[in-house]
Amino acid sequence: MNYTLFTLSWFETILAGISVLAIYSFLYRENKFYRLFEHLFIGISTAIVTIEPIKTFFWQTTLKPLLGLDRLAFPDGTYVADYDFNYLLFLIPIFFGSLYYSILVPKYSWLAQITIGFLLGISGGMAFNATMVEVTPQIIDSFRPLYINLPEQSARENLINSLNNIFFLIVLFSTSCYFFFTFKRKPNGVVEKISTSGRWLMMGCFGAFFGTTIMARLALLIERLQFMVDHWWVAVMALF
Amino acid sequence: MSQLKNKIIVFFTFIGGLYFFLEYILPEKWQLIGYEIEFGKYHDQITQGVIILSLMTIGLGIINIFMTHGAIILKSRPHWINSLVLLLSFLITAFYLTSDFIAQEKKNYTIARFENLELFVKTVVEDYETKQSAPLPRLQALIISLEKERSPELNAAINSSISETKILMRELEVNNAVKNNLHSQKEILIVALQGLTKQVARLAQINYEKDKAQLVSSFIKNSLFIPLGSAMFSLLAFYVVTAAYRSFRIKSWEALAIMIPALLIMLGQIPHGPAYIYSGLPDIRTWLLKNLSSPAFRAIFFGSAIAGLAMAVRMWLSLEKSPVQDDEQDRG
Repeated sequence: MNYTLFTLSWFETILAGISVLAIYSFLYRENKFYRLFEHLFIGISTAIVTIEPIKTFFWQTTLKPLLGLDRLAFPDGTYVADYDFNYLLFLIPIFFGSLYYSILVPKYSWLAQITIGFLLGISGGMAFNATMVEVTPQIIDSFRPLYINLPEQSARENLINSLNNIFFLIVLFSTSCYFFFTFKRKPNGVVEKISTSGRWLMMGCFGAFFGTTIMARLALLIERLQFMVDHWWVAVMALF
Repeated sequence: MSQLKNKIIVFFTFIGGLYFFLEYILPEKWQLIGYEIEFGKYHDQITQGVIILSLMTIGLGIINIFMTHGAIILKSRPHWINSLVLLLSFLITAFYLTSDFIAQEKKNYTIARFENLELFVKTVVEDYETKQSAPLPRLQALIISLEKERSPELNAAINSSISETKILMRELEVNNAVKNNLHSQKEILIVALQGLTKQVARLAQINYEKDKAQLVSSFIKNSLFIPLGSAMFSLLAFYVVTAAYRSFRIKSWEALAIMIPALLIMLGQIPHGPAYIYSGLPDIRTWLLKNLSSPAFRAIFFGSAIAGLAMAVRMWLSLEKSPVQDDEQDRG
């Protein structure tokens, strides 16, 4: 890639490279350069995280219709649609949400707890739906046939799939046993032995997670190093 | 805190959860003493209200940042320069993102205004046919509004739209205008207006791309936000590798049980190449993820989901002691 000096894309690449170097300087030790860019990142990401929901949700779906700004006027001054007074109901959550700010006034800070409590209650109520939506399909999927004999598959495929399902259920059952504390387990009892095997299988699961995490992080690292070599270094060399 | 205040908070907490609990357990439509009740009829609106309620905390977060870092700057505490950088970067980014958003809204408004003209023409003709309103003054208003939009780039398209509008007006002036002629002229005008809208949209897009706020906000994102974010996350790769060194030292059989799948997963994910150890590794990796990792994680998830649900019920019924409540009680 070629860069023309002092253009917008050149500045972008140079600054992006400096940012990467600043973050990687932490590998040597904690330093001012790293701290500065860390705070820069926090400031920028806070602004983005703050503005984006306002831009994409609060303005588009709430404030704009509430203020009637989503209604377009025809050239003769009439409107496409009448103002929908139901939008005024948005004032209820806005007003109720503004109680959060009473936390800044010690005398009335308890009012903020009403809103916080209300939201906590909502998250509690929502948990029923959210949990069942996530858990139910997984429970259904866990009831797998232990013996598969599909005519469209070869005998070998049927055998492999049956063994896979048996292994799947052994792992699921023994790992579940590890978290089963309803009654006291006898030392060297059956449940204890199953739960120990569950622990071993969980170790395998954690190992798999760990391997996946390492590879994901390394992919990011490789992408950054590629950027430094293929883009940033080329942009720097354009100076000479 | 007085008992009454506590009761009010507990009441609101219960009411907050009650709707979503009932919405989950009750059927969509059911009969009660002869009346049909549709419980989740306004579910989308209520959910929107909840999102608005959550979004109202954004300002609180901003105030908190300014109070924390503003105090550090004002009292010139050590490393105050970092706090200054944080606040400045926040303000500059927020300013340019907002300006960019306003520019985007202006662009969309301009395009929508012209797109709306098509609907206007249809409405005028429909109203004429149903004898609801006189069409000529309305079409005259259209000509006036088009005249206001004149610019060298749009002149040709505006002229064509105005002349087609005038032809439509002539058609309407004729008493008992032939319905077919009227409708075909309406369609011709709509096509002319669509052409004008396309040109307006193109110009609005060109102007938006030249907008300073758009350029600066994309510069901030491309040169700072994206590289800093991915560098931060990739930095963890080094720490994960050192952690890997510690955990992969086979001190016990359990450490071996972690190491073998991790190693197989990592080797299985490496793309094929001349130094590839064994071609069946990707299949082993997939098998491990499907038949070992997935059921074990599923069992952990079932346990945590049940615990989460129990916790949610405790929260909903205010059985859980609130940390905020403690603070308040400490203050007396």
